[in-house]
Amino acid sequence: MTTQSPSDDLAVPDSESLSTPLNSPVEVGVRVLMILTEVFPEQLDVDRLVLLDHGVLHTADLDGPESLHPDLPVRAGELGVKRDAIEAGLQLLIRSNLAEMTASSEGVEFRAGERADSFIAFLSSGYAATLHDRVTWVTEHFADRSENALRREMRNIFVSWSEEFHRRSLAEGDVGR
Amino acid sequence: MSPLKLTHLTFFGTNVERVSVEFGPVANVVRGPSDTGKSFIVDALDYMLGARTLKDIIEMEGYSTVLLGLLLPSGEPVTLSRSLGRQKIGLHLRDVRSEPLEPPAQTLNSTHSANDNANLSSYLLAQIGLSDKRVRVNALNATRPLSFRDIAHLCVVDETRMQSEVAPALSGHRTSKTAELSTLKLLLQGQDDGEIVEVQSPSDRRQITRAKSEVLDQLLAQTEVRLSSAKDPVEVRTQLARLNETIGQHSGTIESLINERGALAFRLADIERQIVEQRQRHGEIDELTSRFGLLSAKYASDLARLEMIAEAGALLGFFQPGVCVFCGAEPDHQHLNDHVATDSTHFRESISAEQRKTALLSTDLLDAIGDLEGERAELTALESGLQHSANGVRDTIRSIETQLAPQQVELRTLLGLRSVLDRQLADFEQLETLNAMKSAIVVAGQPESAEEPQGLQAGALAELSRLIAQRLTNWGVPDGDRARFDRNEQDLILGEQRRSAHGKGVRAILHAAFTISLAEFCVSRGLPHPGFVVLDSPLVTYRPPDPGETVDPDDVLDPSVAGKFYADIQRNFGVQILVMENTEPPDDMGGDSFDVPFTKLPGQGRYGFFPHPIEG
Repeated sequence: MTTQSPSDDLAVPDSESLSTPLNSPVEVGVRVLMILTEVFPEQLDVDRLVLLDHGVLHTADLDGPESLHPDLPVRAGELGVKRDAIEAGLQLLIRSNLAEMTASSEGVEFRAGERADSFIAFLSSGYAATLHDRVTWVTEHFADRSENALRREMRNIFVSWSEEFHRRSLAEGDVGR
Repeated sequence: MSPLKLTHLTFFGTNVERVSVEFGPVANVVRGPSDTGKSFIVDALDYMLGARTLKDIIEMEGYSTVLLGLLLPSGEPVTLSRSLGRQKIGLHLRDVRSEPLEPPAQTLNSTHSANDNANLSSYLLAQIGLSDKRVRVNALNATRPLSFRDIAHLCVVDETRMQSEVAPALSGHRTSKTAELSTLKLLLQGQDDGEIVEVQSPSDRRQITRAKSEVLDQLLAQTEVRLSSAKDPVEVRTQLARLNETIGQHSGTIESLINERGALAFRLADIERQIVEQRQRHGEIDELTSRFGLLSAKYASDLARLEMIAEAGALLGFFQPGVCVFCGAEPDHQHLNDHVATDSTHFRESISAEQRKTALLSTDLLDAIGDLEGERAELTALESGLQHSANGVRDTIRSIETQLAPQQVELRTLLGLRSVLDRQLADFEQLETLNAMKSAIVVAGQPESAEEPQGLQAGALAELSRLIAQRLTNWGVPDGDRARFDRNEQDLILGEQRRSAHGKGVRAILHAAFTISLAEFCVSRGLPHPGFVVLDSPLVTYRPPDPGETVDPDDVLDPSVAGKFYADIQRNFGVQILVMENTEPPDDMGGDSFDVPFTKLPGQGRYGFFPHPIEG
């Protein structure tokens, strides 16, 4: 019996192999689009999108509603690879004319496009609805925070995650089969 | 071994003239008027032989030290020194006659001690061969060590004792009579009373018997009290036998119950061990279940996401036919793409595949979880079964213990009763023993009489008597040939009468005869004796009777006796003789003799022992 799954968050979405649709530019792009749509007319750069997206998936760690994805021990290591996934997702959104890239004094930022609303409206699965709720919650609570404040918040969580990871890996060592 | 000889008596001090009298080996006469120090010389000699005190006379003022010169049996000269008023005596291993006094070679105590030989008495006794002798002191045969002081009075006789009515060998004190006779026997026969055994006095005996009886009576009373509630011994023995049987039975029952309990305890331990194992396994299952639960949640989450991705992908494809939404390739170039999702169909298919795979995994997982659940249920059942067994065993053990407890209590009671009976039997035995002991005491309580030690031997006494008689005859003392020492009277008898019944003149001459003869007796037979004799006024001065006074013929001696006396003492029969007298010997004495006249006339000859006070 294996305890691994295709959706392990360390799996790198590779445009060449695309061995799994999970964590593909499509999935990540949907999430990013929801975020951009919620904060419209505001624009966000990649860094903030990385942090917010992470927050969307693990709202329970931010004292919010139940997390969208199950709490796995390794989620503290996600952020590094998350960036590539979000960039890939943004590329897809731009090509699909769902989002726009802007250059400003802040750097490269992204904004929801005209068709974003209707695209999202078409998503009818239960998961999509729950995802939308989480996005709403996160953007309400964190979108207006400065990047540094947001980073600080995330960092605190990562510390507690890495402790949990440590504990869990010890426990796994004891019983491991 | 030839005995001791006195060589000189010397006094010295600060700022006073040294005074000395020299003695010769055979006969010595110190003569002169009264108060010239003749008797003082006798006291001083006794003082140097261990007497405790020396009477202080005015002429002694300024003098601090006394010396007595001796010739040892070996021939070597020694000197004893003593500070006036002190108890220690110094022994100097050469002839010392003048100051300054060198430190003594040895310091001796003046009192005798049997344990420590550093005393004058032991030293002198050793020189004459009387070390470690014992004398009898009472009718119960108690003994004590012989001291030189016991012998001193047999050799040094002062004026008072010379004329005393007390027998020559005795002091007149009733309590020391036994010791004095024991000493005399020692000199005459050479055997001391060291071997005799002391016995308890009758009063001591009675006391001890009474004490023993009292103790036994007490023990008997205590024992009888303890036995007051007992039956007779035979019945007690029967009861004891029956009791032992019952005890045996009870012990057997208890033993088997204990064994049973032991086996059950063993079993219980085994069950409890199994329970622990099950609990461990249960814990492992719980752990696995929680991990599988986590995984199951993951699979569910993955499936939900795939659903959304399918929808999104379809929408994107619908929106953008042409340029690949995934890699941005132009339609012309899309045939070069080898990624799966070039069109919505392929993308759709990959999603479906993923969904199928995940669903399968999820199903398997759910099966596994189900199995685990089943196993857990089994375990729980098993555990409760084991608990049930354990409780059953515990109950059984408890029931055994319930049976055991009263049995053990009963046994303790029986053992207690047995020890009571045992004690009673022991007490019966003790009763017999104590009664036997009591009878034995009565028998043993009869007083024992002291074994009569051998008294003065008739033979030795007869010999002594013969010597005395011969001497008196030689001296011309009337009835001298009929003189003898009587064993029963323990005194001399002259004619029909004891010495004490005669006048003082005869008493004195008899004392002198006894003392000199005793010395001659010992020396001639090689028996231990100091070897010298000092006599103060053995010949009572002739005094013309007052007019009308009745003169007791015993008071006055024929002057011819004196002449024969002096002739006798000059005979060298191995005894050194010193005589102090008021009158001069009628005939000149031989050259070997020492004649020391005191004049009591200042400026003429020697005044006295001490110089005349004016002369200084």
